[in-house]
Amino acid sequence: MSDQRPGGVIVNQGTAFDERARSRSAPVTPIPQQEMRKPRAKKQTRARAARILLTQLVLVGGLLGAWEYGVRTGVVNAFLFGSPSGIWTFLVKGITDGSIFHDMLVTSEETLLGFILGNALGATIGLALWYSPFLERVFSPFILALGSIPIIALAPLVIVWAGTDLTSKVLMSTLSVVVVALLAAFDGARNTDLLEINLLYSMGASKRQVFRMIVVPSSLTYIFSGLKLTVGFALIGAIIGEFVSSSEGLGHAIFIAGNLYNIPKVFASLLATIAIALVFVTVVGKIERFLLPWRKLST
Amino acid sequence: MVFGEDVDQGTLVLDDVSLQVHYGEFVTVVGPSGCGKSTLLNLLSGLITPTSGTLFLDGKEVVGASKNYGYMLQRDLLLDWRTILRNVTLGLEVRGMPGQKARALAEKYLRFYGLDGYEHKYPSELSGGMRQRAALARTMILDPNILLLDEPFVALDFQTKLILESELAKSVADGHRSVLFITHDVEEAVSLSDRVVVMSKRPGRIKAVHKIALGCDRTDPVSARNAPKFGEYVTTIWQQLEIQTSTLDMHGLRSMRLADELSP
Repeated sequence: MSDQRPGGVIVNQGTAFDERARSRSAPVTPIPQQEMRKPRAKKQTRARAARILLTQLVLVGGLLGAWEYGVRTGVVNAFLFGSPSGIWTFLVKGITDGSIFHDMLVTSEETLLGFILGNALGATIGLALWYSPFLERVFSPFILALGSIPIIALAPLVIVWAGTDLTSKVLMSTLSVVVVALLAAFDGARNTDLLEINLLYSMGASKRQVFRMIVVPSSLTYIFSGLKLTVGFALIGAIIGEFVSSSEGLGHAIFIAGNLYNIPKVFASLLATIAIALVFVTVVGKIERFLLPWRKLST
Repeated sequence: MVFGEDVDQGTLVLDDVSLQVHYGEFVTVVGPSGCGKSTLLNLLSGLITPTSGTLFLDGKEVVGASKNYGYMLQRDLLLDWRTILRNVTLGLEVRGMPGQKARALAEKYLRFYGLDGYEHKYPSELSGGMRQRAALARTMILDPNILLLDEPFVALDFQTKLILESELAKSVADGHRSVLFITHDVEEAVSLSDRVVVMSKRPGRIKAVHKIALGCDRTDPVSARNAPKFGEYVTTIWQQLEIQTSTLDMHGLRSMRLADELSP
């Protein structure tokens, strides 16, 4: 195979022939072929990624520039819309006195706890429903009902039952996550390949073994898409909890600043919220790549 | 093994099918699409139960072949999330063999099937032929006494298919297994089998049974195909399949297509 590596032998025939020689030998040596394609593909991907990033920067820069220009020339009302420089001032202030970090920490803690609790609960119930069609039938209307309640409508009850401190926000966050996580896990379990299940039964497996060796691992992909999706839901739950009753956190900051028409501070807190979401999504992605190493190969 | 008919959503799929497979025998079923070949196999594996008729294993009536049958389909059914090695140990794990022992055994099988060096690759990194070879290793490592194979090589290119046919023939050459092989490839059927069963279109009936005697080494599919009587068998079986297609009227064509669409 050594003559097929990049920069390998078949010299005088040139590249075109080289390509054909490779594809003809494809059935016998599929792996080296894949390895070979990588470098060029990687270069192309990198160039494309750079172009996309550049376009994104130009878009954001253009928008911020136009906004700032509009405010300075008086076309855009700075009182109602704030200005990039105003937001920047608040960001710097928040960072220097540490207040923005404090609020981020509070909201992150609520979000993280709600995210973990909601997903753990949702995934467990979702997978368990595969195990028992009886329970699935019994619970499915309740799950649908819970899933269709706008989460904000539960806030007053949660505050009354769980108080105004951390617990109520975690509960709000959990509630807004749990149904989505449950449906994702159940969907994954239900979409398990029937032939794979039959294969395991043909080996003499018990239902428990089928569950553990086939249903759970093949649902992981779905569960992880659920995880990415529920980052946002966990944040929504926490922030709504803070809106309704709280003394700290980004939701609290946004709520107070909004009532005082402190638009730049609202935007600064929003940016902090987005930052939290991005960190969460990135971490989930990293965990996914670590736990599901076969996935990056198939895409 | 003897069995009867199966009613699949109101359609009679198999009718009055009676077939015995002895230990050490390689029996292939050929027939037009939708003739119930796969239904036959699903009956044997116990995935579906016949509406009437009985299945016998070692003289005892059973539901499904047993807990010790090997099962290979057109799709290799390798689990994406397991490495090749752990795909091969799957059945051993189900049976509770200790990990160390299972791995050692799997490595032996992987070597036999020419997959050493790929132990820690994931299935998505392998070609179709190698994947099906890994599936064969996964099947044979359980030492099944009954092999149910439903067109396992149909998705492979001709060259790879011949290699895998040879590997299958070697795997069952020890002669204490029953193999029921389903295919629509007549040459494949003749080159591998001791007997070829020809089925009619739906409802599937056994139309003819041919005892194949090529007088050569069956583990070499090329020499089997070059055996003097090979062409004769293929032609005879082809003709038996052909009769149905050449005498089709438009109505027949339509019902054939319907049967095709219904067949899994």
